[in-house]
Amino acid sequence: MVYKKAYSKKCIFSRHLLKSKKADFNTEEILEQIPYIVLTALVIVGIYFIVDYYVNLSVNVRSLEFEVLTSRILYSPNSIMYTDNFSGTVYPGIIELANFTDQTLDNAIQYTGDRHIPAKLEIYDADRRLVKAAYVDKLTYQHLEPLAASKIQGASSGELYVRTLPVVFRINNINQPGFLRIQAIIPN
Amino acid sequence: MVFKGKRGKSALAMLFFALFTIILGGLFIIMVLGKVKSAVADNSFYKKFYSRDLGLLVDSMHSANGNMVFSYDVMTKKGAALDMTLQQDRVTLTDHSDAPIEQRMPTSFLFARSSDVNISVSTTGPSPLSFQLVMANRTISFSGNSPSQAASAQSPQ
Repeated sequence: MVYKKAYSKKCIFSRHLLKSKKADFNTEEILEQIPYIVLTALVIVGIYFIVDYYVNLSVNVRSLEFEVLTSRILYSPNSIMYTDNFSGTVYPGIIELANFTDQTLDNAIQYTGDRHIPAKLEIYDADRRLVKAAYVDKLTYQHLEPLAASKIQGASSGELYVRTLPVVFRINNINQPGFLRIQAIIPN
Repeated sequence: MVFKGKRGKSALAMLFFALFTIILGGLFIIMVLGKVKSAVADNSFYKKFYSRDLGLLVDSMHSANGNMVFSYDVMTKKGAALDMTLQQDRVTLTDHSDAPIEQRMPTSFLFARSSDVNISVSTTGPSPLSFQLVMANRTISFSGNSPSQAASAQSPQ
């Protein structure tokens, strides 16, 4: 063994070698434990994630929030849909283009928090040409859209939901066929 | 304790490993037990679930025309009692207590308001109970809690 030979000569160089060999030996002992430590950590993390998976306390209602927003847009009286002045009946799917503005939408759908659902509504004609666009909470939508469209994760971003519905839009009491495209962002 | 020689160094390394494992294991047990305890013991899941459910229901009521009444049952586990408060922009659920609402670990869910719908701030509880969500003359409110209704909500159907 190199260790024994070096010890027997008792020269400075061999002492130095001896010291370094001792050090190597201790390091080796510690290094041997690393796989066990890593394995222990992995098992513990694995068990934690299994418990976390089966004990689920989250209530995810994002899709439902989007459904409710769509319902608000389609059925709210005195909003963008044509409302009969005499009976108050709302005709979902018939859009009064004169009412299709940010102000009308913000009056019908008002959020108090910043982190709520902004949306962009676009009307297209039968040839899929953009006729008009309006927003629910325009500022928040424009702030979140680049992040959500890029599918950036994290608290500052959101998830984009899109739906296109066949509608009729009224210009000067004349009905025209078209499509309503709703893009809503639900913040993370 | 002295760790000298080859065996001593080896024992020291083993001791460090054992200590590390014990500490990690202890932290792990505290974390997992805390999570399981919170799942079993407190009402956070019920508060989260009912705040979202009621919030979305109130939200969808805004798009309705005319008057309506919803009968709503709140079924919580035995011993759990929740109070439900309809506020101007949110539904807040808290543990039943006489303490101020801020001190009762409230869980809220925001809904979108409308300029032509009024909200009547109202509280109902404690759960389990059956109460009503009322929309009358473009005003939404919670109403109709009574001990008999609470008893009927508790009894099996």
